[in-house]
Amino acid sequence: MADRERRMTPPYGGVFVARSTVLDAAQVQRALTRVSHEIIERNHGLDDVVVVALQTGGVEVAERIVQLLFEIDGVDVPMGTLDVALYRDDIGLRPVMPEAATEIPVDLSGKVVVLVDDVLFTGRTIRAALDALTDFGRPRAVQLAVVIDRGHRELPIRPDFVGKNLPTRRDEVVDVNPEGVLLGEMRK
Amino acid sequence: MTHLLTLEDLGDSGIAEILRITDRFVEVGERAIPRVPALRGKTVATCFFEDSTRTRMSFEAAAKRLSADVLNFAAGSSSLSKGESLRDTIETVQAMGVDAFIVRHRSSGVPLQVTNWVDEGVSVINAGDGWHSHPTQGLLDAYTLCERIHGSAGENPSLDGLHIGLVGDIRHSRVARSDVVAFTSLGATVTVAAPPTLLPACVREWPVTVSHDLDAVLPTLDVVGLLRVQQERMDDALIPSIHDYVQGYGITAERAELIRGDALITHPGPVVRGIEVVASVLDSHPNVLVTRQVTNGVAVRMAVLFWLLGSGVDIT
Amino acid sequence: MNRSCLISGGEVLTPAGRTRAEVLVTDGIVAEVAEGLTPGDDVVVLDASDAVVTAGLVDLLPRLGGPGQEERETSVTAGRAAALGGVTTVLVASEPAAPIDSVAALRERQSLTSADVHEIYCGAITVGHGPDRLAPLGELAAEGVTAFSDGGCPVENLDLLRNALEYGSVLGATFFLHPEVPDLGRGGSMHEGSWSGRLGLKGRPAIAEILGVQRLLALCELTGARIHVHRVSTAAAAALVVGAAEAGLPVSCGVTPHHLVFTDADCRSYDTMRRFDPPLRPAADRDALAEAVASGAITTVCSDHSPHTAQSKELPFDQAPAGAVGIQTALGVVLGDVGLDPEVALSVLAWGPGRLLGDAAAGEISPGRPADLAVIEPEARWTVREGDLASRSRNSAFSGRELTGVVRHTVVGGRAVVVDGKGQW
Repeated sequence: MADRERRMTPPYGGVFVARSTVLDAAQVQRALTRVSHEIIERNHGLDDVVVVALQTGGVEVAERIVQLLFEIDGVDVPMGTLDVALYRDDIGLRPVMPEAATEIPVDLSGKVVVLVDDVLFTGRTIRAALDALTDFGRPRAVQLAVVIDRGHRELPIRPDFVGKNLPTRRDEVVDVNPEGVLLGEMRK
Repeated sequence: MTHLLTLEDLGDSGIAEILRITDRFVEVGERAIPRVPALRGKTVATCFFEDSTRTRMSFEAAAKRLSADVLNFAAGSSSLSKGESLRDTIETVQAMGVDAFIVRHRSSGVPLQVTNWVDEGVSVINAGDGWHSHPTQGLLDAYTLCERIHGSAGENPSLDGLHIGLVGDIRHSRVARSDVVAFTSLGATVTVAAPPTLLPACVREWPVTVSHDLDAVLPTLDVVGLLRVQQERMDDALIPSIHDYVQGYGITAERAELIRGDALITHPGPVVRGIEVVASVLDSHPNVLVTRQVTNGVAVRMAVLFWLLGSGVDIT
Repeated sequence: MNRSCLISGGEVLTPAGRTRAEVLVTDGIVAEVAEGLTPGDDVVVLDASDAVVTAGLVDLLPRLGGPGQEERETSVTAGRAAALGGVTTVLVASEPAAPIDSVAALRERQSLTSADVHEIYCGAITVGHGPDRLAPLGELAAEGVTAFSDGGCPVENLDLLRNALEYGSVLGATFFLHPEVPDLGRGGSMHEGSWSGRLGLKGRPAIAEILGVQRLLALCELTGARIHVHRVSTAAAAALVVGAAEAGLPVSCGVTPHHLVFTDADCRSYDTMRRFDPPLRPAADRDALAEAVASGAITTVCSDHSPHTAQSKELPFDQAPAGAVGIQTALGVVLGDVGLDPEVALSVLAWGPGRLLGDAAAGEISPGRPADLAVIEPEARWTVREGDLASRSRNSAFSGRELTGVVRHTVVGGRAVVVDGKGQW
């Protein structure tokens, strides 16, 4: 369950109650496979590609993508993780602690960074991530891969690779986990 | 909680959480550009009524790495005469628009008193009050030990099974008091070694073992925590002379032989070479952590500032 | 000036017991005590129904300000605070800042009189409360001064102290002495113990007081002088004095209300309103002192009224001046927090101190006695608000607390200075 989702959806906290399954595990795997092919096609191969996972929701997704890239193209793409808690623009408005590690294993200058997250929502997390990335070098390009785009953008941010577009209500919650993608709500 | 006054207030869970997130701030410090925008727009005022360039600079570095603005009020002995109202000073600085006060004073209890005079929502951080408490020092000492032993603080910071000795003027040491709380909170066993006149009243009620025989204790220690013998705070006649003190409790070249090769040595600084420890020991022992303590001090203080001014989270 | 009144409808409470009676005061003297008295013309009637009529309280050595200390307290404001607290007589302290160490100094102090309380003056034992010379004890005695004190600074020159005690004993003097040995824990701001260790404050050990009392008792035995140990804070020191008194020595001791309520643990928030001289001690001492007061072993309680400006109290704990105002709240604390019966409360706040000052019939309300009286509601509750305190400085240790025992009327020399809880000034 993406903690960020929970925090972004008032009222904060509570228990996630699923209402429907958007994608089952097999569908997620097929979507990620397609996304991986798209990444290779768009970048004409995987030279200079670095995958950076957004903590914490994007980590598992990124690991699967990196695995798929290797299976498809035989290239071991370096992977890093990024916790954007210290870059959020809503600091002080909602509770957040920098819980997870930021580890960028290579200098990002001149690289193509593929940011990976589970759900794209308002776009503010990605904005924070772009800000953070500049502290690690100057990438040649930054691309965004997400499993679900649920709409409701508040900033001019758009994904490059999408598993599925899913229109949602603001108060709904999307949960991406190994068993699939669920749509539901937070119950206190 | 809006303040950090003592580690007792923070409690076990608070101590663990600060150490946990310190790992993140250590990472920030290792970047080419060691800066994050987390506290942009916040203003932090250091009010040091007692001289300390090192601690003040450490807090300042921490604030700046979080993109906060820093105001410095340093009361030299000329500008703040004894009896001038502490409250007036705080209220004047606060009128300049301040989100946090970092207060150091030679009298115990002042940071707590300051909390009575600041506006709602303004944080007070104790940078050392008299003999009483120096919470960020306790945290950074604990962090440095965790880091050295386990590589990082990790999910469950722990000093379980460690035998730590604190040697020096415990009575007048706020570092000692905070270290005892931090170390025991993480599961370490603590022994204090000092002459009776340099121990606090009722020290036997503390969760420590008391020893007056440093030679017997040294070989049993995993960590030797050296404290300053604080001349400026010692009343007359607590010890006969420095020489007498060194005889019983100084880490001389001979006594240094009793420290295990794998033991760690810490010191809050500044080290008075020749009194609490002989220079050659510091220069030659492989596990002196003094420099690492200083580096980690900035990260720990970043963690504290972020928790109080940015996170919105209650960790106690 | 009207010095006649009739106090009617109340219960008269004296060391002999309680009786329903009216008290008629004429020209400053108690004229008649009987039921069914009626007032004549021009006689103020003070309603004492559902209340108790007693002798006015006698406070020993409150600090009432003095020349040069008007910022903290003037004799006028102090007198009003006393009157509102039911105090009709004070033993005015001699202090290093304003020592009553000569007839001239006495006259100057006498000129700052208050209209609302009787003042008896305490002389200094040494000139300027310094270590060198005796004050003119005989000259002062001739002016009516029979009480002498060390002004809060224990006389360190024991030879000098001994001489003072011997010289003064034949003058019928009573010596009010502070017991602490100054060198032990000099500079300490609270009791030396677990709390001082934890709070990082230098402490003053109990033994400083115990040793000091032992010295005073030995000197008492040697010289035969009448000694009152002022402001005892430890159970051990109090026990020594009580034991010596029982063995026949002319010695007594007193405690303050705050030492019967607070402990050293109450310093934990570094509240400067908990810094006292002598310091607050652990609970065992507080409880033992309270018991000794309740049983009558300790015969006097004094407010130790110590006014300090708000600004001077906003200093670090180890720099702030010690003490709190308390002359207006002493009765309320003793009846409330300490929970004493009115008889015991009056015994320690009025009758005991009165006897110590030479009034053998202290507490009696009978024809011929001076009309220094208070009408009290011993069970009424009230909350201390700084705005209600009449002293110029409002540094009360009981701010915001609920006390028991309201002073309804206070009569000083026949004049009603407080009526229905309001000062008549």
